[in-house]
Amino acid sequence: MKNRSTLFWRLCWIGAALLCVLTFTPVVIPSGHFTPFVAGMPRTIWTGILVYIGLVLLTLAANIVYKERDIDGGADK
Amino acid sequence: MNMWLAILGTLWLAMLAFFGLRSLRKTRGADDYILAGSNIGMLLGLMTFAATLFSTFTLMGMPDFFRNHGVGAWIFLAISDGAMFFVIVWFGLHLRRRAAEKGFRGVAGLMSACYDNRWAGFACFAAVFLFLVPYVAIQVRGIAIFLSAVFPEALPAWGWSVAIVITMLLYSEVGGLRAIIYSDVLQGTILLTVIWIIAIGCIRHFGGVEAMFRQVQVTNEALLSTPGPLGLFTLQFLIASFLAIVMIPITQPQVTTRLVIMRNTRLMQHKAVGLGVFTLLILLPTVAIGMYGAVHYADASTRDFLAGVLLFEQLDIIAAAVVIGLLAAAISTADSQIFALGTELRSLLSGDEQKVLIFTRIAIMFFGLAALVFSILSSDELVLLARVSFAGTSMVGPLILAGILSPRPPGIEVIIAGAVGLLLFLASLLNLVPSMIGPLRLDLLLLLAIGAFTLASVLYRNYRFKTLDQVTKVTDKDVNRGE
Repeated sequence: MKNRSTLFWRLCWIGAALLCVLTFTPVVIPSGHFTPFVAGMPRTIWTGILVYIGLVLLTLAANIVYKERDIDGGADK
Repeated sequence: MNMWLAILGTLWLAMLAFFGLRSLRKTRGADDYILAGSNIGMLLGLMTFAATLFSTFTLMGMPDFFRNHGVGAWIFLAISDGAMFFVIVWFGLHLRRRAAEKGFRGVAGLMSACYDNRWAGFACFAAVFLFLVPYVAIQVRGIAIFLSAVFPEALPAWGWSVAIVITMLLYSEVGGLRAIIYSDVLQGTILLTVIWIIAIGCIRHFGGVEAMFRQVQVTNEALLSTPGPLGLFTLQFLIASFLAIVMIPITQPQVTTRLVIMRNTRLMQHKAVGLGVFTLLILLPTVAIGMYGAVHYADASTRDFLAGVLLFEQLDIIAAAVVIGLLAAAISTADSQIFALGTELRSLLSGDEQKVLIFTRIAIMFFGLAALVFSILSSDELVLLARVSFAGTSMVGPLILAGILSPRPPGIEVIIAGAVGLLLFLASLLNLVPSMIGPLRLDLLLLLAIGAFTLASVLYRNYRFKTLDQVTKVTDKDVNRGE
């Protein structure tokens, strides 16, 4: 169970890293280009929103994967 | 608007007083005052984190950034924030493990414990002092110059700055972190409400999102792509900003503390997801307000644009809520930062707890006054100054990460690397060293170099200790056999 959790966690990490790398390529920020428009938005905005949503979903997935690793840390109580 | 301002202003001040006194009654001891009992639930945790992160920088800085530099501002902040929330799930877990193991009074103190070396704590404190005070100052200045322009007959900019700093210090000194958290919730709610009301008005004016962007295309096509009309959003600028912002939970103590004080790790991780949703809701309207400004305030100054779109074009009650929202935003972010500076200093001190607490409270006053002086002297470039703060504190990011993640205390060379990076970055801001080294920005180069050096040092030390452990075990066996 722990191995599976670790694998899912790594997949989330890889997914987040790939999305971040993708952001800095011409797919999201093509210099001087703003087409195609989707839902009335220029390319950098709609692709940027998609990347952002992807990152939030991966955060959610990572959150679920971490369920079995819960600890009760925190500040001195 | 003045009537509504008086009503909403009184209501807001009454709520601040109520929260401050309520927190004062609830506070039991120094740790409770500094760390709010380390028992914060999901909603409070989410709102206080968001309010600390989003401030006048968001409500005033981001629309202006979109107006002047275009859609690349989304990549600059939203993508960096999205990645930061992912990092929180991972970093927060390790941070809380270390905090549980070593005890947590502040990041600087935790680093001293992790490195077994007080200089690690001093380096962290130096970074936050050097770069948080200016950050506090721009929060105060941003709102002060805005209010002095809008209400020229009331107070000059420095008068507003003094009023804000006094309110902030009174509130923090009375109620401690718990009071700050309550005010953050109030600020987050006001900010989210007014920003959407204004943004919907902007979109309605154009008749929809598509019409809005088409109109921007007609006005200034360069705003719809990177690097923007002024060429700011180059690939290097975006990557360097991305790294600096992703490091915020690691390097900005007012944020790091908000990960540790959550009731448990699960809640902290849920908070990261909640922040993702909240941030989308906060940043989307700033695009619309910025694009509206690009069409209707293309050549206006920042002050005229913000005063026009946030106040003069709104209904009186909305305009009054904006003024209160801006004041609340500036105060709640700035007091979190000033308080965090006090917390960090306290974490480096030892001795009688009561004396340390009194010293911390005096130090918080001193930090507030330092921020006040800086706010009167600093420039008006809100977002860019905030970015300098993120970049400055990110220089000790590798140092903190190594302290949290390394199973053994990292070496002094990691502390030296962080301190040298900090000094070089500071020197570049003072124009003592160039801000570009060949084709690379100095901040990006420093961060990459310190990160690589720290990683190499930690790996080498762990490998060396492992080898030494093995040698020791073999020697022990031989000795036992000999006996």
